[in-house]
Amino acid sequence: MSTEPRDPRKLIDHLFRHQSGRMVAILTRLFGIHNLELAEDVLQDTLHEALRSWGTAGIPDNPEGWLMVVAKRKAINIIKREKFYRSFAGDMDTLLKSEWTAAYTMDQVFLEDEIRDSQLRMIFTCCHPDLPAEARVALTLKTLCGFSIAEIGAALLTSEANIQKRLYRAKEKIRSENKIIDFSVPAGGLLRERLDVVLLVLYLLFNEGYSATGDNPVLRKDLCLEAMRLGMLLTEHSSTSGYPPLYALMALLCLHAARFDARLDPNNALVILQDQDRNNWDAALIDRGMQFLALSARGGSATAYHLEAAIAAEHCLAPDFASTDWNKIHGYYTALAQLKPSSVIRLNLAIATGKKDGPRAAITLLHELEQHKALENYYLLYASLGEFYCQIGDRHHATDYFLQAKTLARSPGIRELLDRKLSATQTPPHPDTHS
Amino acid sequence: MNQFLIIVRGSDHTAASPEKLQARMAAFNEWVQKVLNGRFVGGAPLEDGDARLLKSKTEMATDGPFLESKEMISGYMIINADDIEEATRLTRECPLLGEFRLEVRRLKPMA
Repeated sequence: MSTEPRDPRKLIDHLFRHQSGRMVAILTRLFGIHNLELAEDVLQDTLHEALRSWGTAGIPDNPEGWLMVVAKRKAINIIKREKFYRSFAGDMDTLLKSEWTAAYTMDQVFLEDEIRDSQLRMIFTCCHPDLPAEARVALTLKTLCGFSIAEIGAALLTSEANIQKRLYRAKEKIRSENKIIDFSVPAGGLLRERLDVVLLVLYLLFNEGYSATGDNPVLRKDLCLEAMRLGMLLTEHSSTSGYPPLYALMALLCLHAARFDARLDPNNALVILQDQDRNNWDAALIDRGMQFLALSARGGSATAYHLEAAIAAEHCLAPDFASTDWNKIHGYYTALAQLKPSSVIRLNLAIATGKKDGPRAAITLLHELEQHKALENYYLLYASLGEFYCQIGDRHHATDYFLQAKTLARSPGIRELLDRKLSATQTPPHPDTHS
Repeated sequence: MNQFLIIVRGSDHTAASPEKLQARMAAFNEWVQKVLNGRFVGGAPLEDGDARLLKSKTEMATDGPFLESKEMISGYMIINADDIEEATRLTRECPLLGEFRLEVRRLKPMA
């Protein structure tokens, strides 16, 4: 999915980011969730040692293995040094503290299966329903995805200080309530409920990356890839695989991600769906998405993820924009609006209605939505009004709405797109506008 | 619930291959995790070399081995068990048994 960079500094950044989540998870498995900060310290210590050592000796042949071995050695030292006054993971505390069992227990924990299992535990801890919703996303990015505080701030469009506060409070809560917010994969009836929270966090994570409201496209793509990676982890684990909404979400993420590169032009400006070169869509990801969509159909009920994935699939399967099946998409949005009555979904429904029944039907619906508080600062409402007014040849209204959208759009890519729309409204309407 | 001391008696002079040591360690840990299943409290194997026997405040301490090698203590463990019967039953499944002799003793509870 991602390409390995060649530049050594970038290689190290990339490697650290990708190994951090694994290392913190396994160290937390050993030390216990109440020692999450200790696990993070050992990770930092390991990364510093890698930088020092690799700077003189060069990058080793198996840098991932090197990092794990060093992290393990540091963990052993801590356990030896602190075993009389620190308690480690409840189920292995005595085993780690006795010479009869310590080395063997340690070796077992550092096996690949256990590393994967630990990451799964970490997902459920970071996405615990008792943590504030905004802390879940930040904590997931920090501990599972190896993002720095600065990167999380940039990704979530907030200050580093704010992220630091969120993380600090979340960790305090985990430390003081580690009997409730524990480090385990929930079992029985609780599993679905908890899994739904995890899916929501992954969905938000992906959306943050995909919505293109920031100006760091590489970082934003990483958010999407991380959401997909964590989702894959869930599909590979026997206790969480087989849950239909998980497959629906994975289908949704794959089908959106398939269009990732085609959505941006060489200057990172956004290219809208109808102008995207469909040859640049990632066919392998579309296949993957369709496989997940098939797996998701085994469940009884259609969730919002199912409907959103079905919409994405319609777009991906249409050979060109003109042959998009707007009837079907309109149907999915209608169902989605009933399931999840949000203003943004009604906005999308209005757009689909416009494609199906013509621009005047859409304009009526969009004007109703102008009363919605949630949309009052949402550029897409005004951009859509501009677009449909443009289609009926009302250049005056179109210009007004495009200008209003432009003042609300935060992303430079979108502002550029709106500039193009604005200059297009100055020239006579295009002969083949679909109305 | 009582605590029991398991004294591991005997010493292993045969040089085992790394594979054999690994297998022995795996079997022992399996016993701790599956048979003792949370009843393991602690303990350690003991070094053969550095040992002194002190008989009084004045008499010179002597080096080991002090006894026949089969009497030598090679390690100890503490486990939880309801009574001596249960402790015995658990200990009988310990894979050290055979190469070593295991003495099970109940710890006097704190008064």
